Amino acid sequence: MEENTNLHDGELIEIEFANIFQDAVRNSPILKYKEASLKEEILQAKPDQLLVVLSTINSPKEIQSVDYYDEEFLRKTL
Amino acid sequence: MTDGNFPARFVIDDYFIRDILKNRELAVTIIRKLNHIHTKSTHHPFRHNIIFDESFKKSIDDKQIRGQAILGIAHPISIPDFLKDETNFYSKVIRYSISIADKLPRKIIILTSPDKQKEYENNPHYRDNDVKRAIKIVSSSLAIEFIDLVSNI
Repeated sequence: MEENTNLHDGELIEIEFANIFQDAVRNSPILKYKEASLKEEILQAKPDQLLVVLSTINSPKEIQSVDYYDEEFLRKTL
Repeated sequence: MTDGNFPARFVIDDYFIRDILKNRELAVTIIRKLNHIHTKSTHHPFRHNIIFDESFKKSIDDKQIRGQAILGIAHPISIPDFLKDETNFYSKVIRYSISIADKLPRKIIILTSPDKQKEYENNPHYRDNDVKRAIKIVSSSLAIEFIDLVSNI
């Protein structure tokens, strides 16, 4: 798994491999959040959970939404 | 449960996506299994299953948000240089599948719809017996069986 701490639109982030990403979210002075609860959602993700993170591509980056890639998400998006 | 060494890769077209969406609940189950394979693959993590950009775009032209679900099961790629002059879609998919069949796990399964399956099978690039051994073209219930077999969940 390549380490990648950059966010891309719609990128799936597997927290099992992405504790670096969680650390970045925890400590980054640059990342912003559309709603404060989004940060906590990312930090609460458990190993093996996939996240779909939508962010702006402008700097400073703002996280727009976070979804878990689960059955509820699939029913909503398919 | 496998250890991530899945015995085949999937090349997915938009006809397959449209076909499985006829039954949304079944589609959710299929997508979950393909997602497991795509993300847990030790050979090609997050690159295990492939969809051409043009198929990806057609799959979401009526619902953009569906793209987020599809990104969890297949990696969209642009047409490789060696296929730039290829005009036949089925030839493109088959020739691309041949090009990745020499990499582990050396088995490719093209997922499509029942009517398009015939287009693939009648394609001039799908006549060689070695190609037929390495690349399977499946749809509908057989596609589901293959996905079950590969995912082993």
